[in-house]
Amino acid sequence: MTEERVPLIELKNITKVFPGVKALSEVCFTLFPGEVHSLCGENGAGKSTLIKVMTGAHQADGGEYFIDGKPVHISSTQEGIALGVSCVYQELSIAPQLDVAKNLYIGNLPMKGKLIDHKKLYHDAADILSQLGMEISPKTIAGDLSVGQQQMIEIGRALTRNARCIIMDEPTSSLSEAETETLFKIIGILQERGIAIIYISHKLDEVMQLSDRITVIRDGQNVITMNTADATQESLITNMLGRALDTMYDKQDIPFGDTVLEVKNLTSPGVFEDISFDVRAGETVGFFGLVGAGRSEIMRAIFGVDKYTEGSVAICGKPLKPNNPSAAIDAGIGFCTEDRKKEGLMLKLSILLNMTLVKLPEISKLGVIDRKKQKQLGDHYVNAISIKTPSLMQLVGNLSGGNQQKVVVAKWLMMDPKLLIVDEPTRGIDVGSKAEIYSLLTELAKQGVAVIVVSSEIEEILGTCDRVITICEGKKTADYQVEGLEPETVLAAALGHAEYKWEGGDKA
Amino acid sequence: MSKLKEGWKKFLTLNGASMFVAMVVIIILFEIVMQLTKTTSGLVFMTPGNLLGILRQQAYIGIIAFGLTLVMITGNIDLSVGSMLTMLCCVCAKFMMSTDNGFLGFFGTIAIGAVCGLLNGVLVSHVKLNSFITTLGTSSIFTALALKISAGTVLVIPNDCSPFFQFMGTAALGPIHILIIWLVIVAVVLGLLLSRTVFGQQLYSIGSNPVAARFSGIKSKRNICISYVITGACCGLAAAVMMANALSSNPQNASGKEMEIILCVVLGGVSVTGGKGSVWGTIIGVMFYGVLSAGFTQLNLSIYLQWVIMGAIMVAALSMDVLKEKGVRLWKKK
Repeated sequence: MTEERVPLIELKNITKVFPGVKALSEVCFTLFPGEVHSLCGENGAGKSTLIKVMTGAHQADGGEYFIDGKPVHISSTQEGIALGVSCVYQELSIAPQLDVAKNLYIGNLPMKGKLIDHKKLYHDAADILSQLGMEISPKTIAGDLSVGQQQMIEIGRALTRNARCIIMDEPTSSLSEAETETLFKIIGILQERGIAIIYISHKLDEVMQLSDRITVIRDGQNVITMNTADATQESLITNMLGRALDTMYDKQDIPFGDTVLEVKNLTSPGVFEDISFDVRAGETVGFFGLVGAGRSEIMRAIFGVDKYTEGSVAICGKPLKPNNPSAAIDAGIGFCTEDRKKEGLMLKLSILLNMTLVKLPEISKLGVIDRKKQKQLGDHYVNAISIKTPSLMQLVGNLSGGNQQKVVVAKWLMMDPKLLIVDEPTRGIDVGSKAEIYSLLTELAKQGVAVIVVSSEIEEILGTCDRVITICEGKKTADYQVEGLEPETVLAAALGHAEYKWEGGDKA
Repeated sequence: MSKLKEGWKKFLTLNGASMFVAMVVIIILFEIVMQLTKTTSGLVFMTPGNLLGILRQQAYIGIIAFGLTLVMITGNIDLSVGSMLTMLCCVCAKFMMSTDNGFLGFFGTIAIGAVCGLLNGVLVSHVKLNSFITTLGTSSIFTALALKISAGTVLVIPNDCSPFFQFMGTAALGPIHILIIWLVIVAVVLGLLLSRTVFGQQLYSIGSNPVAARFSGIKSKRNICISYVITGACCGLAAAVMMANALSSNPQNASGKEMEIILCVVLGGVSVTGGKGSVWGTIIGVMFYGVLSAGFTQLNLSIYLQWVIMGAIMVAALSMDVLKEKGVRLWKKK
């Protein structure tokens, strides 16, 4: 790598601030033509934000952005594409009803006067497909292609726009091994043509195999940029983590009671496979895995909002009806979901109704709500977990993230759950509320509630849980006691590099 | 004094309060216009008799609008209410003509209405069809059935039919006609159902966020279905009362009623996307619509022009609703 070459893309001290959060702070990044440069970091480290700044989806609040050594200001993704920066996102944006050629040239169709030039369209499309080494007709309907082929079409689309830098965000997350190999071949072809690739993946072996250089970011800051030859998977993991545990956790020794939740061989094809574990009263079990590993899906299946094909779930020894959330609630499961706005709250409705929604049948006679009781309950919980609001009738949509989360938690606390599942309980909330939520979880465990914490933050798991189960690509890869556990071990297991340290669950 | 001010502020934030104020203003405007064109002295439009008459005219539409409020709060719609009303009128007339059993004529019609609502409800909630398209389809079925039952002619119930049946549509309590009493009864029952019961509160949560409602263990299918059944039963009640009052049914006379009913509900502040609104708001919507249409008629405005104005008001009300959803403010808040 000769450093005199002009970098294709150069970012200098990029800073991006979202309300309350500094997503990027003085990040530097360079990309040379024909280079594969991997970007590594934990979930929420700032990778996506950095990419969005590069493509123009976000605008940096500080720092400089150069393309070919010239300063640029990209204010939309269209401008980014015009300058040669294209991104292939994790979620594909294929129009399944259209054919391959139209998908390749969507938004950019060759014209003859006011009409589409179909002859040129199919000719050019065939040309692009052969460049990608794909043996399919440009008239194939895109929806009939495999996911891998659809991804190639996305890459092809970037080529039709004369992209010089293609960003690939977790491109292999839904590809088979054969398809992954094809993708790697294509990356090789693109490289030879001088196209630079920014490659983002949680799969470290892919990163090591493909890239020329690797940049690790953490907490929105550069940690290190190194040549792949100098890097090892261990050094990457250490750099991705590299933080000490906080003191905001309030973990206490709580004696465990009887088994509350028993999950056996739970399977949903393509999502998760053969998941077995149990949780005892007073115990807190963490589920760790990377985004898309299938952790939330397992919880959704247990709670009954998703279906599963095999296996069983039992609460306190009694089998639970599958695919029936109201049966799960009756059995005593509470579920604070990952996406509180989509799955947890009615933003247009009052705090009081949101909090008491699950409890309503209990505080009513013949279907008529006891409004006095409802209000008492509301007042009690607003004080007990200090939700900051002028009134119970305030709409939930007007609250801050932390207070919204507390409303969700209150909703499930009210029903006196036997098992409480919390999925990413502290996502997007401030430090103060975080600590409050952690101590709340400890308090619950003390009362004999079985708690499951799903999280992408290792510290959170290690700080709150007694045990941690790691999930990688839908499979349980490890089940560790937390005491004395190193974060690196957990991350390695979640990345699928566990030295199968199977401890046989907690059946002591 | 400040207490009065506060009470006023509280009133204005109530659902439909601004519509109420607008309605009062319009009543006064009509009065002024009529004073200018008429030569007789004294009030013309603002008399208690006239206003009660307006309410009485609105009874049928109002009863159904209250039911539809429940459906629309869940984020669905029922476009078949107009044709359902027509068909149920024919059914009621047939009952009375063939049996002269007042109980069957009255309660049987309500029951058949509930069954029609159940059909809509099952299709929308269990088969998961889009409510707009589904009820457009069933609307066509009901219209055809109405024509089939009546053979396309006006059905007339004999004057000497069951006194119980006639009582249900013609009695009066002093100056208050029984139609108004029906309107009030349905409003109170459904109003309390919506605001005070678990079922009612769950309807709001379904309309506000169906996914979160599922995650809260709410049986959305059952609740949506019941709201359609209630709307159907309201149609049945409206049909029975209408027949008891008029004793004749014209298979064409309720066509287009669904638009008026939906207009009343939307004017009353029910959000078309669901989760917002109340029966109290719909009452205001019903009165507002009644005042406008009565005023226009008393001013001898051509019926076509009335339709144009009503259509424009409907579009405006829906636009306001959508803009509010998007958070666009037409005027600045203090």
